Amino acid sequence: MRKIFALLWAASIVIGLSFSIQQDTARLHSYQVIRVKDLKPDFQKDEMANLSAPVALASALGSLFVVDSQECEVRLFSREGLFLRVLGRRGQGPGEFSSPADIDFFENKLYVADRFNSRIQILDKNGSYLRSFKVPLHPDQICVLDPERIVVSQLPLGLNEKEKLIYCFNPKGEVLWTREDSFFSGDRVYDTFRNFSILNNGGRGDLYLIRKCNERVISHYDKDGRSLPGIGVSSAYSFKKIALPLGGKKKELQGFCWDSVFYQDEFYFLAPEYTKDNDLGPGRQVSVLAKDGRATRVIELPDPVKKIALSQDRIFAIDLENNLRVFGFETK
Amino acid sequence: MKKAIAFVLAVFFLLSAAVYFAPTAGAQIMPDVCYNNWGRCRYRALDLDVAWWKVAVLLTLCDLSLGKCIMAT
Repeated sequence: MRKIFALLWAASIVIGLSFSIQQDTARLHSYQVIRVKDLKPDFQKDEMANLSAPVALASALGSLFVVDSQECEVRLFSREGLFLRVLGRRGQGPGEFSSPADIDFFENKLYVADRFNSRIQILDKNGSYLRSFKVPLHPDQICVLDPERIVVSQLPLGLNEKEKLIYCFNPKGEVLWTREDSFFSGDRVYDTFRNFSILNNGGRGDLYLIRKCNERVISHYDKDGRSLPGIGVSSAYSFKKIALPLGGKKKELQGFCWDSVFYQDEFYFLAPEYTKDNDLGPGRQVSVLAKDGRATRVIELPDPVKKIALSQDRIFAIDLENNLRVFGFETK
Repeated sequence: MKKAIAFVLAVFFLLSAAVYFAPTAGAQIMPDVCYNNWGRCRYRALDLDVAWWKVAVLLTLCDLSLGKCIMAT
């Protein structure tokens, strides 16, 4: 009798599991695929749109801002991808940058993560310097929740397990709160990958943190750093596995997201893609996820890209040759 | 006479202390330079935003340079 019950129990689990997998697969295949057209096909002829080390893109104030860490400047482009002007230059003075890493906007003001000057610079919409404050780290990404709460992430050095990923500062540079312990195993290279993360500004004081690998739950915080329920991303959006070759025993990484943008209450995840030599690099597929983690549609780009930004009817992107690309959604 | 000997001894003591501590202080600064360069090396590798196997190689090169820098000081 016991055996029969055990058998029935096992059968119900198997049936339940297969039903849930079928449902997930159905969801995976039901989302809409959106194709785009190149709005700037002559991008290779535009010298100013060929960047040295573009590390961040942001669409705001009717323009596109591209942060170039190597040239230590922010380049401004029109929505058509035409170069307009340069903000800042290399240096340590006001309005000057040393390897800027990211940019965010709040009430027509630009906030620049000035990495090696260890400070946050605030500029007006014309790029004129307003003020700055020092931070006790090399700022990597920045999200301005409001003028009194400026969230900055750092890439941990991997020297100990006490480093935090996220710091929230007030405009005086005082730490209001910190969140997210860094991953630490003692293997610095592996730990660096495990600590790769992306900050997304959700607006209205919402902050999201997406790990680039091995974690499919998006961390969610309010403006005071209180942890809100995480967002589990649908299994329809899958991991891409890769084994790191160095540091003795091979260690597996599960690539999850190359870049992410939060736009109009949806996440736009740029998925990593396998290269010809079995490495894991930037991809050409952008998955659109609802706020509950459901994959709703996929945008297919013609080429792999490293960074993306969205604005109304178009996607701005940086391709593998560091060219600025502009794509428009195809209308039926 | 005693005062003169005490003075000479004091000068000797201070000089030897200065000679002993000067390289030690220099050695304290050098690892800071090494770690600073290492941090920059890592960020440059990551800013390239290339495929992960390549990034792993670049990060390992940064670590090797750090070791070399510390050994040299």
